[in-house]
Amino acid sequence: MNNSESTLHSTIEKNSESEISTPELADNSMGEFYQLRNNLLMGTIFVALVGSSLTLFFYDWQTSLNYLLGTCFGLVYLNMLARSVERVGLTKKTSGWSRLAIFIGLMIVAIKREQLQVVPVFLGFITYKVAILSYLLPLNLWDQQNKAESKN
Amino acid sequence: MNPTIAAASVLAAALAVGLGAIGPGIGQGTAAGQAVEGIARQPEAEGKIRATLLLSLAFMEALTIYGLVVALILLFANPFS
Repeated sequence: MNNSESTLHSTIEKNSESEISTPELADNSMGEFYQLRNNLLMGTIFVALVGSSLTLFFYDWQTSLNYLLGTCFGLVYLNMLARSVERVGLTKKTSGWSRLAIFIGLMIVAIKREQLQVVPVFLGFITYKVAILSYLLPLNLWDQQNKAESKN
Repeated sequence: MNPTIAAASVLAAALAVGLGAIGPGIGQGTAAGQAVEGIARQPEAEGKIRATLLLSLAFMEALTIYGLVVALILLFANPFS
């Protein structure tokens, strides 16, 4: 009787330990995701600053400001995308319309307003892709190099 | 604007958004479903799976955005008018 009770107690303790440790484990594992999100946001800001200074050098300040405006909206879009990925599997309703609505609104305003140019605004919005590629390509190349070295 | 060109532009815009959204929509749904499945199997790899999902969704949704750009330009700044 005592043996079975002690086994039961140990099982309950193990279960309660695993219940406690699972959310902590999940929080710890999410660190990589948050790091990637921050890296992408910072990378986008860096590419935007470089791009706007290049635009200012080769074109004029108005084009540069248009590019920066597109980048700001691109940052908001990327942040919303990261937030929706963070919620995947946790909430039932996931809709990408609010993200696309931001882009549609920006493009309509850029097309309708005389002061805004469509191409710099669009290229500014797409800047986040440059940041993603510049983040991914070195990682991929480094990984391939490591694999080739381990084969040799 | 010529009514034929206007009608063709509206149709082309609808096709650009509609057809452009089919592929990324299917891809995003599949990717998100597989990611949730992976998280359920390996909760310790949640961060890695979500990070990969973020990157893949960013690339997939860009395809919808390209279709949207074509549609918006056809509707609001039609070069053929």
